Amino acid sequence: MNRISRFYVKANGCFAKIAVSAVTVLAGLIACGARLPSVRAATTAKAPQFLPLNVHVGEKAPDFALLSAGGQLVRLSQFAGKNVLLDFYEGYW
Amino acid sequence: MIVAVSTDSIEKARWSKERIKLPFPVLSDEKRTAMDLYNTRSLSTYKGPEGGPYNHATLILIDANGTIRWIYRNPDYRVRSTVEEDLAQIRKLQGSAASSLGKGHVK
Repeated sequence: MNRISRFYVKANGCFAKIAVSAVTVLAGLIACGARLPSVRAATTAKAPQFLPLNVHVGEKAPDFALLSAGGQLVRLSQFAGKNVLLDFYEGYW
Repeated sequence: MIVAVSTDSIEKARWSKERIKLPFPVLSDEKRTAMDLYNTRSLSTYKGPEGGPYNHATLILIDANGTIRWIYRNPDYRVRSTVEEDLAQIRKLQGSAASSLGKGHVK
């Protein structure tokens, strides 16, 4: 009898422990879930997607030479005398 | 004059130019020289199929003397300036200077 009751108490204690830890985990998950969106929003709002440019309004536009779609070497400075809208885009249109 | 710059290969740049029939130079900055010169590099972790960093969309309006007169960037790369805004800036520049955005064509 002693053995059986002791086992029962032990088993019962174990179950209680599991139940308590399950409740803790659940509470933790709920807390995390509730906090996650706000944490995520704060991160996206703060994280910069670009660094400051090396150039500013009022400065001379640095010259560069690149190959065009037609394989021709094009220099920015060759358009001197014209207004130029320089469009840096991501690619993969 | 409009000059388009991306990190696309010449083949991709040609594809863009021909498919959308762009009447202005489409330049290939595969080695990221112009990107690093102007620092237009995006910090976003997205990588294109060819890999490597790419531009955060940036518009730079340069006058006939080579001076930068207007810059447009948006913290959200998906937000572009409107055509109306671009044209307003160009007209402002044309009003202050005698030159205009010529219809130059570079093959």
